[in-house]
Amino acid sequence: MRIPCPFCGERDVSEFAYHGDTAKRPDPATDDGQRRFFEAVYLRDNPAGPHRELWYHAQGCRSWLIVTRDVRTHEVLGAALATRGAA
Amino acid sequence: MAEHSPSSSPATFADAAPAPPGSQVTITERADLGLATLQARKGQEAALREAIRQYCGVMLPDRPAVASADTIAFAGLGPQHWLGMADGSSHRLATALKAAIGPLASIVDQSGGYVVFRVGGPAIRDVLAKGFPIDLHERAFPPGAAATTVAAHIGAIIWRNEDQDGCASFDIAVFRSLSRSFWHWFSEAAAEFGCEVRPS
Repeated sequence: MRIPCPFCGERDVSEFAYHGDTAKRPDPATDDGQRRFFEAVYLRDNPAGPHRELWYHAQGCRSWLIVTRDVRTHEVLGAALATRGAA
Repeated sequence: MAEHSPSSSPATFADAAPAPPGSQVTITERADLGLATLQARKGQEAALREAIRQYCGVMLPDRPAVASADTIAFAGLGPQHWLGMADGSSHRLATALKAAIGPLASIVDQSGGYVVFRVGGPAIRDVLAKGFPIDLHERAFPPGAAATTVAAHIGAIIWRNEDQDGCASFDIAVFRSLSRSFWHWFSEAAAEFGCEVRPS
């Protein structure tokens, strides 16, 4: 699998660290935080198809990326820098 | 020369075999090189570019590339992140940059953090291909190109210089504490072509 880093160009997946999907984590400090966390961990969407996820280019430009990947085929459909508000 | 940890040459190359006749690979350490990383402070990228341009005439590259003027050069490591280098300046580079651009960027002296090797010779690409997972071919990596990647699992920054003696020339920066491991890999990878260690 190769990821097209917007800064470095296409690189092997071994240069990157996977973080997870881009869905925002609930705030555990809110009153219903426990329920929201339960839903986020156990009741989350698990689509068969394109998935937006966070990858860290640890061995390259050290940028966080939002990568769109088809989880059925591992085809990478795009990658962008994860700037504030991009997720 | 400034004192660094004991991995500087000649200690690095102490176990180097004598260069056989017709060696096709060369390596030397760029000793006494001043190194400093710059990261633009929030919202200051444009002001930083202008300050660096006024300081030394270099336009900071916005991609993985090296831009230089006279004795100073900057390599793009990531978005709003550069490695500055200046021959013979050692730790003074970071001090000079801080004085010149003040609060526009976070500046950290890396002169003792990295060792920079200069490698070349007619077989250099064949050697580097054994450890670097990126395309260093003429078309993909022309003079002035730079990349942050790994070499034999060691984090490395590589950039290409103008050709020397008709051969491609590259500079490779690795963390100083890993420089002997890098040299071990390089000497093994270059052995089949013959490797000449040149004094700094």
